Amino acid sequence: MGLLLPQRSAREGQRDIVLPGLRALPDVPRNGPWDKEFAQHSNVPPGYILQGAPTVLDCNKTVPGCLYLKHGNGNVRYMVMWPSPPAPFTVIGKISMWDVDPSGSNASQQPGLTISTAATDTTNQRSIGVWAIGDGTANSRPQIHGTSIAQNAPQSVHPPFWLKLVVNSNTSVDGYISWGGRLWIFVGNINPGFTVGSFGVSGVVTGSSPASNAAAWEYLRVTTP
Amino acid sequence: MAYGLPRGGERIVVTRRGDGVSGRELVLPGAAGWPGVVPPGSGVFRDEFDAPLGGSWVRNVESGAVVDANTSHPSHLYVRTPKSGTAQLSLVYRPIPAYPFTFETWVTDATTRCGTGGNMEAGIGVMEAAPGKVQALFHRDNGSSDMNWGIQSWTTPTTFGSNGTQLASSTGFGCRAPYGMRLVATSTSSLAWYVSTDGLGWLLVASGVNPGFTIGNVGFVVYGGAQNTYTHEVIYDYARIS
Repeated sequence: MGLLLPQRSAREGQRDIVLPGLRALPDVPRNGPWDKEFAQHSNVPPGYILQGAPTVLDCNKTVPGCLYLKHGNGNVRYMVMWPSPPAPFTVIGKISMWDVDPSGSNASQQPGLTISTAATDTTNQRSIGVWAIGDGTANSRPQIHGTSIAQNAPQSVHPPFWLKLVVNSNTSVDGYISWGGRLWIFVGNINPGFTVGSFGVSGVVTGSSPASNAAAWEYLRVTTP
Repeated sequence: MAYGLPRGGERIVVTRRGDGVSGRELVLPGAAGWPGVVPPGSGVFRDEFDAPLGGSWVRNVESGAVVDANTSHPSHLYVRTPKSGTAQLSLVYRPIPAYPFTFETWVTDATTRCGTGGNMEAGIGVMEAAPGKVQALFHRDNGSSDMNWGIQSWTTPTTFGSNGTQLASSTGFGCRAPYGMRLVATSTSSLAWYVSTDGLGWLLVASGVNPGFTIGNVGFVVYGGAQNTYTHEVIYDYARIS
């Protein structure tokens, strides 16, 4: 979001103007050492590993203030990942805009918050994420993918929304979705089956035309104990 | 606080809440559309929940529920129902002013969800002086595959009565937080219920509604859906009665 305000007060001259509740706005940057505030970058933040090939990948360009990924028809998967701290940690991502077209036969579009093995591992593209998918029906549903899938009932999912992965350990990850970035709806727990070494965003496009997947991520924020 | 960017390009003055500064204005161009902006003038009652929950509010909540203001979530009223499996409304209310009056709030976030086997519901309502009977406008699990807006009547906080007008998610309003809710009470037998997803446009759910009892209180209503698995959390940004 383009409005950046201080966490507690806006200084006007020598006085503080306090806006109650502002401190708790989920969009207020914290600038943690692992965070990716895409509004603060003119290009994709350095150190990333790209797996797969989205047709469009840019930062603060197509959608101002956001990391933008897009792919059209096809059966593809792509990921933009950065090295993560070792478990345990929590990563939150905000999707500000998406354009998913699930109207094609068996089409499924899944922009997801993702963790994977070490970011330099380009052969193992195992990942999990909380997906908000179009499944060819009027409804989407939050899902968390590991070696198995946990999902909530179909529900109107549209941006903005927040996704959260709580990496309790390398064998336990909780997935959540939030509509306001403050309260979290549990989606499921999975065992990733690998040593977590990276976090990022991903997209999946499957199904026949028309199908497309575009998502704009405003930030990724990582907290550690 | 507002949940999103202003939509208009006009310039307005944002009221400074509790800043202790007089004679100064903070001007945020285009901020007129923010639903969180405190409107000018003094209403009959206003609580922005920037302080602990005041004594004018009465709590009649399910055992184990959490209710606080400016504590769990700054500048918000927070209600969390327990995993009790109990079918009971949790109410936070206060006496109504003279008719006509309007009661409005903004739900910044909620964990209301569907497909749980229960029916989580969050909203606003009117109650008898000592509830008693309750009528509420809910954002609710419609029991199948999505959420909707609906009016419900309860004969007591633990006894469901009947459903009133229900608007499906296909109405075009995305049925999820954040959203606003508004009650316009012309008399004890004539209510109009509205919802909004941007604080600018308001969708009429139903008007001329007669709850069938003498209204004594107005406030917030949260239902946990008799859940044993999930808590139900809701945060309200403000209560404005004018």
